[in-house]
Amino acid sequence: MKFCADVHVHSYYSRATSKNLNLEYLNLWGQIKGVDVIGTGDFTHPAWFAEIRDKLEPAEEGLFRLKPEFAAVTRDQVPRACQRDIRFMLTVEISNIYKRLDRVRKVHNCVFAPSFDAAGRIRQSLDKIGNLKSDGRPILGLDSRDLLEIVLESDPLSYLIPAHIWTPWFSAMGSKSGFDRMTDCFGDLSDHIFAVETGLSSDPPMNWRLSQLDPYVLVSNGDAHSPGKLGREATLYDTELSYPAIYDALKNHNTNPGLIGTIEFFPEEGKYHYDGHRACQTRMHPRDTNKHDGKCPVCQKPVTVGVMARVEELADQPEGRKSPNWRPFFSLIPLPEIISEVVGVGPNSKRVQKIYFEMLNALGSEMFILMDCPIDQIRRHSEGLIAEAIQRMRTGDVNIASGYDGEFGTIHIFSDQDREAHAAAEQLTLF
Amino acid sequence: MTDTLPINNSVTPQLNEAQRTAVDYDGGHLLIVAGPGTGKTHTLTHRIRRCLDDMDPGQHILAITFTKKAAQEMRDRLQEADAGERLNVGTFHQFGLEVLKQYSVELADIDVADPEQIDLRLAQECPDLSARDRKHWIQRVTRFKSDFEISDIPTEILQYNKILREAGWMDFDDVLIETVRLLREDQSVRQALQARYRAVFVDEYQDVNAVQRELLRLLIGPDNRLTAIGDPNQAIYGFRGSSVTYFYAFSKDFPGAVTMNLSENYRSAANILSASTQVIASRSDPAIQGLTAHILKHGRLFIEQSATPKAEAEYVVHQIEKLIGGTSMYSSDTGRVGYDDDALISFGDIAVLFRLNYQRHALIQAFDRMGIPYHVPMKIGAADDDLPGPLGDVEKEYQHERVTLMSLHASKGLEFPAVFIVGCEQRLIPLDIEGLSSDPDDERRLFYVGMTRAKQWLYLSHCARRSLFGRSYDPLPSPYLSDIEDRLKEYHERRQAHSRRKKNEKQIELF
Repeated sequence: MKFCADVHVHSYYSRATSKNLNLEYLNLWGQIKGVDVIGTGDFTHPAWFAEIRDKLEPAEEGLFRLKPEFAAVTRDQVPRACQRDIRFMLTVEISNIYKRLDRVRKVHNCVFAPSFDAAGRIRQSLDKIGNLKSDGRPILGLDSRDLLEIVLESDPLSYLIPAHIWTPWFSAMGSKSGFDRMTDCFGDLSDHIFAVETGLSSDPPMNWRLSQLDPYVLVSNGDAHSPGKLGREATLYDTELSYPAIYDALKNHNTNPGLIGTIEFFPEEGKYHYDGHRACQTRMHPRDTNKHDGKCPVCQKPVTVGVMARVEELADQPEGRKSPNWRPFFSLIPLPEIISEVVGVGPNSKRVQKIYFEMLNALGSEMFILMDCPIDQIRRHSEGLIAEAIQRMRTGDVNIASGYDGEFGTIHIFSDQDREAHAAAEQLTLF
Repeated sequence: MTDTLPINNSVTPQLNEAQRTAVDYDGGHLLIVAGPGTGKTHTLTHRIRRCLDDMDPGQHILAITFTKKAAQEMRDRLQEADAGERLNVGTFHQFGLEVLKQYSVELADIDVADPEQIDLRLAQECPDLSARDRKHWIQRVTRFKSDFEISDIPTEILQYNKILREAGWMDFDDVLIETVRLLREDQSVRQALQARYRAVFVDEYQDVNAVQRELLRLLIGPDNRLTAIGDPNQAIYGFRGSSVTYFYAFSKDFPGAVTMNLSENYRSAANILSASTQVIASRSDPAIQGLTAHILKHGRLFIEQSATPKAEAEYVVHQIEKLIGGTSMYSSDTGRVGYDDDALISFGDIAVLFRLNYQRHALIQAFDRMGIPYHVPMKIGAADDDLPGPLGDVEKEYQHERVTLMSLHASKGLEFPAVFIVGCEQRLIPLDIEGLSSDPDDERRLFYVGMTRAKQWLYLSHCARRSLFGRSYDPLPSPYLSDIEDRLKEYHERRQAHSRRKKNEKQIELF
């Protein structure tokens, strides 16, 4: 079957996350967004681990579902057209901060376990190394390679995916504290890495420019810190719905076509696409960074080098090159942001939220609306330029001011001329 | 992590001129005065290696270190020198035990009890005593035994000894006392050892006590040569009966001895070195030798006042986040981090030092809340270091980096790119609390030891208010802070409320 997975998620036990980032709300928002398989996140946290053991029950092999009594809590809030079965997978993100090859490395890694027993073994090993209680995403002074070994020893089906590999501050290949080669990060155990997460600031074509990444299948996840952000990036499968099937689709992606593609942000919208300096509001294309000798023209300190420049630095393949095992990808803009642009008020405003839920009620999940719903049908159930905006998004016809140094990029689908033309056309139809 | 030089010391060892002279010295006994970061271990290792090369294959070398860990490091460093059987490296206690096992008739098989066993035994024998009473009793015994030649032995020592004898035990201190006794009484043993170890090396000589010094005097005959290395400015174990006077008496104890100085510091940034020198030079001691900074890059020396120990711990944690470049996406996105990029260091590069162990609690709370990995090494010194470790744990152990929280005492011999010393206040530094013994010179040297652990960042923080043993008070900053010239100190930008208070204080002073 076809399904959509967003497995890099956090709980309310992680720092800087929303209070309602709990299983009930993940179960609700999975339906709203159209995400079928959701990561529990944070399984190393003792209180969260207890909570997921208490509230989840086994479903397909290695997957879990929310027990009916807990699913009932948010059932009334699910738009009718969005109802679906949600599955959970045991996951955690670890922040590894350590020295390797004479430099400080700060690498985030996503860890996946096929059972509570396996997750328990990982927790037990990590508990000896650091403090698992204070943050759902624990900070450990442990080498990524050693974390991988602990994961591999917990169960034959446990695995590790390096998280958002291009983020400057916290990733395997980031400009600030990452490695130049993925294999330097995992050393002798590199062969056990079979997938990497692109992160919000990179899309597959950027990753395809490095032949060293060819052995890995690209996955995407939303890294949500609140339930409403679920599924902003995700991975699409067409295989049996079970943990072993997902594992096999990832590990044997050369022969198994089960992973069919990814949902991506427009990379420019990510927080670290361009170079720049947030404090000085300096946003720079890598070309300009070179012109300024890597320094911020305002404060003269080195700018934070974004993902684009970092990819360029390590690329050994031309633009437009596809990796041998490439999968298709779909660049989406969150529906509330599209509505927000059309109606001209903020995405969290009442007006936008009202339209958003009307569309969900009439059409189905956000993923369906953005990806598959016929434009005519959208036009019938939404106002103004929304259908046109979705159409443009699907063809990539958008303008975006790139993100930099932790500042999200901003999207503009329509120019002022577009709006005027539309307004004129509306008047014509009225008379 | 002991004194290191910015060179590869295993392949083509590099030595500076003073180090080379000390390594090559071919005369009699030698005392090397080696300040912090001057390459003490490096030099000692090379001298041992050279002696091994020069000596007849049948001759042996004895090298005595202050801790088991130091002994292991020394062994590791000399491994490729093919020293094998010819080199015996160990602590005084390890050496004493070997001697007793080999030569003593009645003590060869006696058990050496560790302090926990002894404590348990004392508790059984004297049920009226509290744990605290027993601890102090054991401390007094240790102190007494380090100065063993006093003939008038107090009753409580005799009672303690009796309890141990009845259990068929001796304690760590007895090991050395009995070794000395054996060497004094049995000339053949003494001669055998003198013939075996033609060259003897002792590390951390400023920390030897009377028994250890006596043992060395017995081991060194007319044909033996002793090399001692140490730094009188880092003598901090007076409370355990060590005395820096033995360091100064070296050429009297071992006639013909030559003294050499290592004075080039390879560890600390110049301004940090200047500050520590100013602190130690304010001591009324004749033998202060200046150190020359080899690292000219400017370090950072911050002085910070916090309201309470809790706020101080917050300050430490916050600064650590800055040093690491943010521990979370959140902190880097919100601009909570801010040093220049090349400066990033990791948890293992940071130590937080304190005078009294109780100070760790406030720190641990802050570290736990922020999820910053840390460890608190429990070992304090030589005797503790001789405790037998847990039996071989078969489980795999992973190296992982953590911030080190430790006492100033425990920091000796270590170095860290960034060092925090918390509680730089009256009463704590120097320690001046009723019921806790402390020597003013020891205290100043202890602070000097702490400061000289730092390579590039040194944070000296103090609190405006503190509670100690149930009483609150408002301490002034440690007097040692005012021994540091103002031009060397930096202060963090004050928060608004803070500066307003400062201003008020100023106004009050005016009237």
